[in-house]
Amino acid sequence: MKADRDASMDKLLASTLKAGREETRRVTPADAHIDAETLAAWTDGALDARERAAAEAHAAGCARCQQLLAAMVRTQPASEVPKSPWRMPSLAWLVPLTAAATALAIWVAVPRPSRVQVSTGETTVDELAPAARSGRSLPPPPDEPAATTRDQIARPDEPRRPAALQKSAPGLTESDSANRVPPKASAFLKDTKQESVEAKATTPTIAESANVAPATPAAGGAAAAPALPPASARAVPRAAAEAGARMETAAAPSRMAFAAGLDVIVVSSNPSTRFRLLPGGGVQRSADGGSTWRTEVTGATDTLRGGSSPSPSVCWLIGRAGTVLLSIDGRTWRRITFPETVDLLSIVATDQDSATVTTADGRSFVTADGGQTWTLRPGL
Amino acid sequence: MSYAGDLELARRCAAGEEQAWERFVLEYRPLLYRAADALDPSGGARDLADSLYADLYGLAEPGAERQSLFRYFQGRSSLATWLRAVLSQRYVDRLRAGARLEPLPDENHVAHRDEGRGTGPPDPDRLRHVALLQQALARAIEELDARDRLRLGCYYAQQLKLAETGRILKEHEATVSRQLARTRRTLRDNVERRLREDHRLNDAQIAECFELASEDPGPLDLREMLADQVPADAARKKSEPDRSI
Repeated sequence: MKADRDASMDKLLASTLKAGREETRRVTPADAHIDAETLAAWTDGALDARERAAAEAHAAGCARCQQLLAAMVRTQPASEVPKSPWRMPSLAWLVPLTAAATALAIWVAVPRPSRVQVSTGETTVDELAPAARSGRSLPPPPDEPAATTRDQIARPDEPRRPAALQKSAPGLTESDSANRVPPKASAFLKDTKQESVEAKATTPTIAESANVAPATPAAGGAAAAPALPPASARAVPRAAAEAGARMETAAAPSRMAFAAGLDVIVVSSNPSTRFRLLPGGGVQRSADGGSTWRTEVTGATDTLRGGSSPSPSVCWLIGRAGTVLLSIDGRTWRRITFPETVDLLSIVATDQDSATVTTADGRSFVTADGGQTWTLRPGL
Repeated sequence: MSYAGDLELARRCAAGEEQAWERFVLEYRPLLYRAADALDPSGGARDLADSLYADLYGLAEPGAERQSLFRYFQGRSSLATWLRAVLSQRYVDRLRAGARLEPLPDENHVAHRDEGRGTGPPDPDRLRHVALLQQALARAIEELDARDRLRLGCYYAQQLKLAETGRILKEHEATVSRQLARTRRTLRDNVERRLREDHRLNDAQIAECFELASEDPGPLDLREMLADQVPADAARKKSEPDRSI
């Protein structure tokens, strides 16, 4: 009976409180809408108790400010979403342990699936499998309560009702925007179309745990990747493949993978240090195994496509049109001159001086002096 | 937490320092575009991101001093959060401005909708019961704490998920779920009490009210319902364009 009463009230509220219809309070100049500064401080937890209470009191009766809060929360990057208890350090050890035990059992029971990772260098790049990018992955732990943006990738949440904010609205036109963009914005607007595709493919998807298979598209991207079975059939073997990859890492601690246009994580020889490649040439570094990330300035304007980190302080990164970056302190980056403006597919580095780069047309260039000179490796 | 680094970057960008701008473009362009795409996955908010960038750069009319939007950044949050807030603000304002221009459904549409409910004349008891319930519900919502009303608004009106609602209220989603259930119980009890005491309805009539209202209650416009209580407010609102969506 109680459940029926609650369900009927839930239905009534859902059907009556249409978005934007509940605007009951008088908004006076002294009780103005929440501005961007206050909203940002609210989001970052920087409002004191009095300010917070005032903002909540206003938003409780203001449809516009509720819309603003909803929009703000929807723009929150996955990296800022609070972690679920399963991701807390105190329980973190359970994840690899459980994955390893499960994988070991499956490893014995099923034939070893083919892996598409490349073993080279002293680096591991965990990249999201194409299937996982489309929202398919291993299920989370059964008791995990989170419905965070990141978790929704692996677990469909409650059905999403069409939101008012999702619809587009007329407003500024392309020409309006273009006319107002300053000269410096030419770089900002560069590759907008490409950025759109990349951002949609990468925003919520970084595989850095055993939840995602280390399937890696070969040169040429997903089109060259081997055919994959349906996600439902692949979920379990993927765990086995991941475990196998981890084991292989222990035996020969060096692999490097490459992704075309995706967020890529380059794991150093010390797994605590990682480098995340973002669309638009952005690079972030983590010194705590991916829990927190710090944005670094590389000078690159195009999306970097892969890397190799033979030690926590040394990292080589590659991209399109002969882009090679090197950091020998893990923080500052310098551009290395590459002999050709060809797209680069992969790199394997053994230290800050020695690296081998594979180009899109299949050739390999080697340097032994930190990128000052490059030699075409014959016969490859 | 201190955001002195972000504030310094904003100050240097506002001053037009090239290196600061390059750093800003490199670090914040992907963030801004991702936020725009999160607001409108079809890419309809990207022009807002571009426009925001232009305002941050501070392009001005010829001869006038350059005024960068960065001067409004006070360092109370991270620069990234502030940029998302400004972008969200512009997006919502544009959305609401656009909604004002949308035509209301024509009378024929409303008539057709009403035709679907039955062939006979409208039942006066039905209309009365729905009106009474909505009025009681409006009063009950008004009596809630601001935090409870905000939680209701985020979850039901803005259709956020539990976790998203919790992020706004700094609550765990399980807490949000429990609090919503508590609020629903409170509302139900208050509504039933009002219908019973104020309008002398019996249990069967109250049950009928909920049943009818759940079928097709129509949008709940509390301003109209509260017109008796706040006539001045209602008069002021009527003179303004409809800001609701």
